[in-house]
Amino acid sequence: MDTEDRSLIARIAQKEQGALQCLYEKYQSRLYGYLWRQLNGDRSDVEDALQEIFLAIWRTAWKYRGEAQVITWIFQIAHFHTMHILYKQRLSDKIPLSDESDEENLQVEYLNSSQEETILDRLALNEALRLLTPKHREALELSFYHGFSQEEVAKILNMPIGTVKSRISYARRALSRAMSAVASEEEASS
Amino acid sequence: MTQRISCAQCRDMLPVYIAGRLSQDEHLLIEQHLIDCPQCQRYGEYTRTLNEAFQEADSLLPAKSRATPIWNGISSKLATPAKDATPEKEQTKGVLVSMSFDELPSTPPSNEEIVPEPISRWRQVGRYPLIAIAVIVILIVGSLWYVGAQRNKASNLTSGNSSPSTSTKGPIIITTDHSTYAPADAINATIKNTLTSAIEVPDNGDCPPLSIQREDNGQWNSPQEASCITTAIFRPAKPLASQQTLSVTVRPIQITPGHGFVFLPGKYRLELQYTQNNNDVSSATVVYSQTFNVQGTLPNVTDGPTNTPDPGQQNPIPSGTPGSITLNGCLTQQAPPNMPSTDVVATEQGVAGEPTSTDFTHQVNLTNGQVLQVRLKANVNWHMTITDPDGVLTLQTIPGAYSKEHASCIWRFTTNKPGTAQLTFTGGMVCPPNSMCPDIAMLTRFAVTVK
Repeated sequence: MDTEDRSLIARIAQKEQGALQCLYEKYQSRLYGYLWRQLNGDRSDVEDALQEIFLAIWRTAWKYRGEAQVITWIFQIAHFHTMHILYKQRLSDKIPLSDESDEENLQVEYLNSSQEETILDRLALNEALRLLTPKHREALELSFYHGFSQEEVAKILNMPIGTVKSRISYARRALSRAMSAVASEEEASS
Repeated sequence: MTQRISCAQCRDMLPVYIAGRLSQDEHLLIEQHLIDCPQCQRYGEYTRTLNEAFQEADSLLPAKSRATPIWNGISSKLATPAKDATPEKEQTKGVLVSMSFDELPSTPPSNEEIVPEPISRWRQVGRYPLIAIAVIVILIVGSLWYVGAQRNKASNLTSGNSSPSTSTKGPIIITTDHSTYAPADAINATIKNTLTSAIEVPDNGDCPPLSIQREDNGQWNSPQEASCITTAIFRPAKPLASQQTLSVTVRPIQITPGHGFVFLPGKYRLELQYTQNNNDVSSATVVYSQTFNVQGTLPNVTDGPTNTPDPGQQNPIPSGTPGSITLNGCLTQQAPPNMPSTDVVATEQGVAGEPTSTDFTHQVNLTNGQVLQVRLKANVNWHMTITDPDGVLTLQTIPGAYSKEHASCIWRFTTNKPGTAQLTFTGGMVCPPNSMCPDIAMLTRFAVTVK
């Protein structure tokens, strides 16, 4: 798959518009979902970001060094764009769950893996995913959905792999907590 | 023999496995592990469930129905000449930062610098009515930084043959000890974080956060050459605190045939990439760079024969450039003189049974009188820095000798008295002339405690 992608990038570097369209059709759906979640479902921002990402690929394909897989490189660009947009929107104040200090001074009830696995309920999971902070949801999504290795996630997020590991670990715990909260709310309302 | 993986390795790879991105061999490894490990099977189910939850969420999005209009938008912009920046255009109109945080202070664009990563919003800045105000603010702040940097520059003048060179580009000030170097020189630089907050210097594995690029036909990153032609070891384990200054020495790691490890004459830039954290959601990669020149004649070096005798053989001793491929990266082929037997061997993996911290530092515990042998793999031009204010260790001659038996460079130390010392080894890969050389920076530290 990456060989095909590299070929597309090489053609894009030669300013072949058809190659960019191929790349767009191949990845727009995955990127759209990622952007949708990262940008809090703001369709205008998502579509704008998607355009900007592919325009950036168009402009900078000649710089692609081949050190990472193409999809990793694309998500790296996507991450930068979402960071930029989120910075401008200052969404951090609106996020209900946890922040960086939580991560550093973790005082939560640690769930062991079996507890974590047994409380996986699809409805609660979808709701809980929405409750995660963008950064935690992003780390989980890149790893568990898009299938990037932790090393690749580190590359995309431009942070040390140790930070990625701790972020994913924290995100899983936060997810479990959020699911517990969702389940409690459902019980109370029924 | 069947290769096996640990549970931790399996769990790290499971998302990649489920996404179908593993190689066939890796795929088999995971499957074999899962057969024998119920815990990892459960974790696999967890991973799959999460994956499906995201898939389900995606299926509810209106992405497909809107794909065509979005592509039309992209296509129309491609057709607009102003947006269709060629590499050459990017070179001439580049800006300093990789992301254009127009709300961030003190990241003024520079006419001399080059865009290292895609800048999209920056190009749209003219659309917005507030940009004029932003530009004025940026210019004012930039001027203040410039004045501050000039003061810094003046205070750092040395008695060398050229003035130190100081970045005037923003909150991160990079100062080199000179602005012009000879090809074989090492470049001493300091990096100061003048922000009121800490910055995180990422280690993305491709290039170290501090890298050097050479100008080539008006481009810094020629597609034909590695992005970072030399490597500086600058991987701080902790974020760079506010007002903190770090020193770093940058040496060439690519060998030039007949000249050893040199910077080819030309214009270079020293580039720092870091992440500025602003409550996380606004964290961004920002690049600051500092240019310097390399001038002068390349030294002539005649490498010796390529055979590499065991240190046990006293003669012949091949001549060669220390750290060159001829010497397998080691400083010498000469065997160390007779030494008492080694008590503790330290390698890149540390000392057996001793802990290793996350910042590449291995603990080495010795009893006074013991002999320490540091054995680091060859084909890296290791450079040792020793911090030993109390004189706890004595480095035995000959340091950095090549051991064919271990395919390693070897340093030996005797212990003098109780105390602590730190040994830092840095280096880059050594490759045969004219070969593709991975740009890998190596760093190994040993925190030595003598009791």
